[in-house]
Amino acid sequence: MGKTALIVDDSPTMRQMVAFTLTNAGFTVIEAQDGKDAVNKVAGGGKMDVVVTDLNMPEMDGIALIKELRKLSAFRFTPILMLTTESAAEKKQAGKEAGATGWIVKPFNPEILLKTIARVLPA
Amino acid sequence: MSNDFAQFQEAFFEEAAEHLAVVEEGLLELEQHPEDLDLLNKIFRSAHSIKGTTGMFGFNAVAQFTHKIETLLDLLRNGQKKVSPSIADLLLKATDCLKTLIQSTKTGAAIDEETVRRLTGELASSSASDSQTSVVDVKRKVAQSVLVESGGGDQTYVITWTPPEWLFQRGLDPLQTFKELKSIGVLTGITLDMSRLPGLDCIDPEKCYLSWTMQLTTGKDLKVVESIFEFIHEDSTLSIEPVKATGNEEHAQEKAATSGGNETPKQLGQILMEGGLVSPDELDRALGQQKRVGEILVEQKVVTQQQIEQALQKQRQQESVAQAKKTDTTSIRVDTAKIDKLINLVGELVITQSMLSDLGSRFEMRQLPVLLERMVELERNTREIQERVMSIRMLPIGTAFARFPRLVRDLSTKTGKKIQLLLSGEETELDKTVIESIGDPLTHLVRNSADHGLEPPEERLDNNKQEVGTIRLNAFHEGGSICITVEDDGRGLDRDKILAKANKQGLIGENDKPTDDQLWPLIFKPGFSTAEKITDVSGRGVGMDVVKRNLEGLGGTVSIKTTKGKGTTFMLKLPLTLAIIDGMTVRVGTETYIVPLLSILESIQPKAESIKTVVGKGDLINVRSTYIPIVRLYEVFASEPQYTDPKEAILLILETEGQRVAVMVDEILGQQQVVIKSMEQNFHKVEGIAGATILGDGRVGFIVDVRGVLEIARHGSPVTA
Repeated sequence: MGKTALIVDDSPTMRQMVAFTLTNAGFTVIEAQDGKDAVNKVAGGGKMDVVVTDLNMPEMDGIALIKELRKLSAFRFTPILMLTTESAAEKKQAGKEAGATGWIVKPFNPEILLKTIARVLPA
Repeated sequence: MSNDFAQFQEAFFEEAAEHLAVVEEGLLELEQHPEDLDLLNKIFRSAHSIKGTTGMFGFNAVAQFTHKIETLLDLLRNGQKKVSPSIADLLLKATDCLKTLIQSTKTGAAIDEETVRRLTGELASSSASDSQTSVVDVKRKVAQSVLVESGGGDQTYVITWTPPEWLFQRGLDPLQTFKELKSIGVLTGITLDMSRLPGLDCIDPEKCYLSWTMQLTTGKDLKVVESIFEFIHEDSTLSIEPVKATGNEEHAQEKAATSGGNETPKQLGQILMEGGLVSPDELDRALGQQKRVGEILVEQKVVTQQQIEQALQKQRQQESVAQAKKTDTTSIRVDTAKIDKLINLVGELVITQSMLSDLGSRFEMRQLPVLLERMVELERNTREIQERVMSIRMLPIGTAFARFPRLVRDLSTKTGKKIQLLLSGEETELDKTVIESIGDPLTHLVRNSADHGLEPPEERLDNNKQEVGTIRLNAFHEGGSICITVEDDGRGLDRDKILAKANKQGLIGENDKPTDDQLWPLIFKPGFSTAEKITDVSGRGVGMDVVKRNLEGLGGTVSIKTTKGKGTTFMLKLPLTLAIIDGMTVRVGTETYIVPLLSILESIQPKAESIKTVVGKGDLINVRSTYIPIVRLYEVFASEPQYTDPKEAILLILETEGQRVAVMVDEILGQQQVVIKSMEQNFHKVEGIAGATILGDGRVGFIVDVRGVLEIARHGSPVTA
């Protein structure tokens, strides 16, 4: 156990909700408020078991973040889930092209969040 | 369904308020710079955030409305639409509406459906293309995710799956998929197709060349099986075929239909009624015969009727307390650095304390210097902690200023005047409560400046002034207080007009020659307005008196500086916090009271001839030919005084809301800062007392509520102790 998750969202409320759910599920949670912050936080070579990121963010948005992370050797195969507000096809497509593993459509409940993470989390 | 997140609602409301402010400010700025794409993106992001988060809490009406705003913003952002004044106006109105919508989800207040509908229509027509679909889409998605685990008979599917080669590069792992399939049923007959596997020399270990065929027997719906492939479905060659019909489909569908709504189970009566077994009347009658728990217990003589009443009373109280709590909770966001620093200080305090108790346990007189040194340390720790804790409640006043750009814009449109607003000192920090209460008085003053202070453009040009009038808001610290100035470069107060009005209202005698400083404060009198016509904006003579009253309620003052033809400046002076006041400690008999320093005009030891007794009005004192009623503090608080004769005692002349009163005390002890402890929270409200505090010697001292004392003096009803 002792999995780590990186949560990237500019909304503190969203971040808290996701962090709360994951912490309760036994994760160690690292929070970042946008893509740039996230990249800085993992720059030291930190490895994560899963990344959950919002798409619309200032500084560096979710798509750019996914592209950046995939360039790092520690994140080449890490599951990255994006939080999207709509099931807009082009957003999903852009995410997939950037290397996103999957997506969670807002609004979601804790159950769906954990289930989706379990779906992509390597054993 | 999202109830687990309910505890984050408070945080959400705060965040939403911030986003709304960003949207509003952004829109105002956008009017000046319609081409600013960064700005548009910022506005869009905030709107988007509100939509996303409101959805999380199930505030669907808000989410849908925000979605409309977002759609229009998106079109602007993509350049498909141009920012026009009418669009900016519509968006601002929509933002206002959104604000009230969010407010109503918080307080449960009714929604102005009409406005929402009208604005929704306007937004939709401005966005040209229909946007209904995607909201429906969101809803359907949610419904889908709810609709899982519906039972039914087992079904066997044959699954053929060829994932895309780049599967791994997106962090996907086929092993995970198999695991999940296994978790919902029995997986058999897995065959691996390795035909696409290239020779060892040209194999790329990061690519997936494999295909699988397998059989899955599961009680779950086809949808559930498909959902396991959700992230990879579109890019894979995938077929999931049911092997044989089980005949249970109808049953399964029925189940799905009933479980789909995720409702609470129906009550027995309702089910019977739906089945036609009982009529609604019969049901009502049966329910009417049902006894309440209390009644049954009384009948069985377990408890008495009285005990039940008491318990019910308690329940009602708890309910109302719970309700009050719900609407009353406010929270504050604090920089983590502030908290860290505080924790650090508390750590130091603990160290000092342990050093002191160590010293105390084996103290000898020669260690006195060490003791004194430690005491100094303790004092420093305490003072720093106090400052830090106070600073937690401190917010930059910018939050109170934020509403003014919008207000001034609206006022400018309404009055046809050209107005520019300059803000400075936004970073000045003051107590959150003060910030929250300062908004309304400031709004009144800004409105007043825009409406009465500033002249119309033509008049300004005639007077060799710039066409655009300026209103300047400034905040700064001065000593232990904060000063806020509202300054305009308009026509200034008109001495003649105010004097005429004051004469008319009998506030000043015909032949009096009041100084400016005596005259200007008259505009704060209720019902005093010299505006010739009442406008939409102001001029009804309500407002300025409210400003003064609000400020006094906060322990502040307001003063006026004005030059005819040049402009007017209102200067508000407020205490930094409401929790600590400057007080004068006075003694009455053995009791110590604290009188707020702000309300003390002077203190005098009266001469015998200056005291007059008027029948029915009590004693009056003549202070420079003004008669002021004397209030004996010992009578008000029913205590035992040292002196009962005003000649021997000391009179404090106090002023509040323009009324004066001479309060009689035995002795003035000194001046000190006191921390206010609420009476209501710890005891109950006592007329004439604003709060209590702990004095240096550990005793409790009461803080005199000047207004309350005046009230008591007027009605002559001392409190019963």
